Amino acid sequence: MSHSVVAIRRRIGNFLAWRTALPLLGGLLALVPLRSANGQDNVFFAEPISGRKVSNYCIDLPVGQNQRKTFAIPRDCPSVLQLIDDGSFYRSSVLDRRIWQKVESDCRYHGFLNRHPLEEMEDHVTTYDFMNARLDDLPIDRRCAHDEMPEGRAGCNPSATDAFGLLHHIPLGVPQGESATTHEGSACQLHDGVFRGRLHVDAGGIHCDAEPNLPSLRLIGVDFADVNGDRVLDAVLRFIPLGPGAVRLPMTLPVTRFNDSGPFTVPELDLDLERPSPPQLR
Amino acid sequence: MQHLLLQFARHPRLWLAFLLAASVLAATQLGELRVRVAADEMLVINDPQRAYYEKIKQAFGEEKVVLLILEDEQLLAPEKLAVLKEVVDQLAGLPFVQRTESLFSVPYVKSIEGYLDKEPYLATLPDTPEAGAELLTAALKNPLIRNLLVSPGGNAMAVAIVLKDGNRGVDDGELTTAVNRTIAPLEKTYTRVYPIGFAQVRSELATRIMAEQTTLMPLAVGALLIALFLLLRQLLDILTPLVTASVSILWTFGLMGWLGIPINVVTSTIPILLIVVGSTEDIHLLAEFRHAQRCGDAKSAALRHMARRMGRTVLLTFVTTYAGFLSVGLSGIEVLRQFGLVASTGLLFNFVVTIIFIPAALSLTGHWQLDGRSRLFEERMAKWAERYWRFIDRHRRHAFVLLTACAVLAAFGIPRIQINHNPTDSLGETSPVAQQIARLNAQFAGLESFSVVIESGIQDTFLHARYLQELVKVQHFIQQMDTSLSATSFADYLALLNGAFLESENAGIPRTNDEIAELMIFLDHERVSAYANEDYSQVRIQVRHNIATTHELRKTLDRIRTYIDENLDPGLSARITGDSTLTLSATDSMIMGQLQSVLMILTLFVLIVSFLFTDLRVGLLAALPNIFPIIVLFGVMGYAGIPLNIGTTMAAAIAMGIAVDDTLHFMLRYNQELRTSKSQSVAMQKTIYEEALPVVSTSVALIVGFLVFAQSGFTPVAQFGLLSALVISTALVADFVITPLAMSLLRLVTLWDLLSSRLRHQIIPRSPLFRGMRPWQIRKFVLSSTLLEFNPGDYVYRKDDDSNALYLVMKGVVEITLPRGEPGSRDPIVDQFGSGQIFGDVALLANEARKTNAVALTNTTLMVLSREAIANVTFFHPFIASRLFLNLARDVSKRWVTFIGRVRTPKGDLQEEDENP
Repeated sequence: MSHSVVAIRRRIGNFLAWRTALPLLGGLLALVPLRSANGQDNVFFAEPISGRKVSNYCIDLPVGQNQRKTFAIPRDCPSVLQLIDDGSFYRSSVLDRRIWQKVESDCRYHGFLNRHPLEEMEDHVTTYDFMNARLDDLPIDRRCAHDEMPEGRAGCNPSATDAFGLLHHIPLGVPQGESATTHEGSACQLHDGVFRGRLHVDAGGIHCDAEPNLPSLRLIGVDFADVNGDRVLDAVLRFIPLGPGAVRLPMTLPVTRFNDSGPFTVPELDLDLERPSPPQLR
Repeated sequence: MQHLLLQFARHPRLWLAFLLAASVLAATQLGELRVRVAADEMLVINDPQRAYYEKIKQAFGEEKVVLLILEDEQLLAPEKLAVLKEVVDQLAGLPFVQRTESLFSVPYVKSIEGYLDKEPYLATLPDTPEAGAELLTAALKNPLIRNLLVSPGGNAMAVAIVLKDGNRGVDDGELTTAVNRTIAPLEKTYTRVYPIGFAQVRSELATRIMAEQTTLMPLAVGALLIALFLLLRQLLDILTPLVTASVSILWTFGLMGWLGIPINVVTSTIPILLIVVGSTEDIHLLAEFRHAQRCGDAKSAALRHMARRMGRTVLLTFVTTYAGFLSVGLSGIEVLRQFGLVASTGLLFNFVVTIIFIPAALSLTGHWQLDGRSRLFEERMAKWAERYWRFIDRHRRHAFVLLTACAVLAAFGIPRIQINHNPTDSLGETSPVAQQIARLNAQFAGLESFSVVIESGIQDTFLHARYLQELVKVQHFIQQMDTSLSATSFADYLALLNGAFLESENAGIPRTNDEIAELMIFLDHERVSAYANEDYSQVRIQVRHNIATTHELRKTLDRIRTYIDENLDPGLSARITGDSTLTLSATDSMIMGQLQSVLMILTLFVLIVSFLFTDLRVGLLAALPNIFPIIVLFGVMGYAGIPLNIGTTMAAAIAMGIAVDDTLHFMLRYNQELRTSKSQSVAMQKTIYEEALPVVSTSVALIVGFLVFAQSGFTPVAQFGLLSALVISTALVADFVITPLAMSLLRLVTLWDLLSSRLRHQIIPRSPLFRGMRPWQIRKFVLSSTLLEFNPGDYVYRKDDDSNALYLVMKGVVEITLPRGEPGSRDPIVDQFGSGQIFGDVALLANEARKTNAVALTNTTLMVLSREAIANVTFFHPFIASRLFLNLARDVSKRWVTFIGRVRTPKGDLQEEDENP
């Protein structure tokens, strides 16, 4: 690994260290060399200030004391990332820091989706209704979810499956004194992109209790790309946690499959990824 | 002063021309006069709290708003909203409107497929009433809307019309008319529609000020005319006060126009005050002139008499009244300061006009035939005065007990006085605008507001969960204190965003720094600029309320302050500011101003009287009849529930300034009468007789004039009128009960008397009576003596009179004769005494009746030192008394030696003992 790549990885790794929901993908995205945005132009972002769903936005970023510059995202993403890599950004306030982080995140995500051209793809993902996906279909590592298991988290391998910590945001287990009311089927799936309920995992699989007031998940976007260049189309799912106490940080889960009915797996990425620090709330 | 009055009388046409020219000049400025009512003029000038509030307004911005209130059971019915939308668009297009805030513009922050949606609640009009009701329910969950733009009951909604910042020049009346015209289509659509805001309050105030000028002014003039006619019965004398008042009003308005001082609720009372108060000096001057005429003086002699008797009196009474008005001008509250300065200047104009116009006019018209009825009135008056004085002198103990009981009873009412400084209360309960404000207060959070500003001085402080929690803690405390309070802050907007992102109605505020930082990306600072400054080091909780009483407001603010002091993180500081705190500050200033004014006038009065009479006791005693009305005033305010407000706060000072005039008139007259009367009792009778007509006339005119204010639609003005009339009435009673009784306890010598004695420096120091005494010792005697004036042939005393005084000849000659009782024969002359000599001392010291007659040969002035005065000096100043008795012994011995020498002469034929050998 070249010296410059290590430096970039360290910088981006530090930058992402605090984040809850992008532990692995953050590191992954940091190492992604940016390409032109010719492949995936329909990436949607939450526009700063308005919060609207947009495919591009303009933003004034502080580049020095009392000095701001307007960037069009994603068009100006290379310039933005260059500034970040050069350390030529200015982040004196909480808001400035957070805006820079968002823009960088958006740019890197955009770059991630455009790593490989979308030509002559084998497609087994676009026909799947992710907005109503069954949780069993998604690559969630049950071991990582089940704190009560004798081996605990030691047996958890997030790099292989639940790589993106989805289960950290879902209440696990059953409150003491209550018996689990297991609802197989409809309760354990997204409905119009939303899952609300309690999730408990055992050797038999994932079980869910529908609980509308509990923290839960919303799928806010499904982007299709060839994230590993294997010419098999991948779906990149972006989730946000919902409910009281949740932190609105998008969690990204790339999934793929090799036939139309098989289960989804995390696509194999060709990068040597570091395990990021555990989620920090600063 | 005397010379000035005579000067004006000598060249009447010249001075009348001067008055005319000045009036024409003043009239040229009338066009500049404006009616303007501003909210901040009710506040304290140079108040540090105000300066802080201005700073906060700069940091967080300030919006001037008119609320359009719509009431209906189906507020968001589609057909109604269609009309409303059109009206709101038209309102936004008005030239003085910056924007409108309503459900058409306030963002409904929610999540759609995981992304934020900030479209306004009514971006799309609901199709059905049910959809409208659902939207209303959603809006009521927004703390930035509930109670502010939609009533909690859901049956009233507000559209905030935000006015452009540079609208200071826009006339409130035009603004109100334009808004009313634009919202007219809504009147058929909604159950009740009305615009309300300070612009409407000001507009109604301005309209009613103008209306009251046209109704109250004639009423005041009419009332004054009737009062003067009933009392004076002189056409010329009745018209003269009106002329002087009119001219002074013209000058005052001219000055206001020139200086750009507007007419407002308080300054609008000045013309009527000038008519009423300004008439008093006129009445006194005219009464004195007519009195001299009735005594047979020709016009010029009557003018001289008026100038001599009334010159210094009107000057002094003007000074006290002027001080009364000026003391209001010392108030920290702008509107009161304007009033005090303008009214006192108006009074100065009135004084100038009066002392010029009356002598000048009388010198031209004073010879005109007079009404005869007043003579009858005067004859009766003399009898009434005598009987009256006898009555109260006989019942002085009862009078004292009765008045003391009244004062004590009133004093118990004083602690009940409430304070109210709410500008909208000026309108009165029957005002449509006041009623609309009451409706608004009942349905929404109210028009009044204050802010709790919390700061750390460190950037991004309130983007940290710990400090955001501190903000929320204080906000919750305020909300829990009173459910009618609406407390909103930056945290509410964050909670809205958080709720939208988390798709949870109960999300609350973000709990971690990261959550806050995440939300901040989607927060438009403009939306929260009223709540947080740009670097988030300073935030404020805005509290809207409808607390009507100052007492309740003070209690609420004190509780918040206590909570903050005890619970806020020490790294933060908090301060309460806003219109409500400034109102409280103004209230404190009002109370202090009230006390200062009353104390200042009383002190000035005591000083003037003490200076005049060179005796502090006289000043203090003379203050009694003026303290009594003040106690009664505050007592009545307490019992009747009349609060201390912008109007009533002036009553004590102004009425006191006027009331002391009568006491001064009384005192000065009494002093003059003492010079020519042989007893204090006679002097008091004469004083009552002489002063009854002018004092009662002026008091009645003042009472009637002040009662005209009671007809005002402005509650504080009406209360001011009632209370001022009460003070004048009480002062009138006190002047004719307390003043005579108190004054009869003292012997009075004025400074003028002292000054005249100083002119006789050649006489007093050379008098054997004062030999070896220092000037101040001599003054002690002078102070305890009285001066009597005698015409040629007048008896100073007669044989067999009680010998209760000795006499020092100040001016003239007195002859002592021994009456033989033989008709036709001339009584033998015992001696003659000229300036500086004393007589009457032998009989006094012997304590025997007079054996001789003492007759003035020329116009003679005698200084009378009574037995009682000598006893007082002996008691209080034994050293001076010893000197006096030594001098008397020397003088008597010397005269005894002379007498013996005369007896031994061959032609000496005086064999009998004489008291004045």
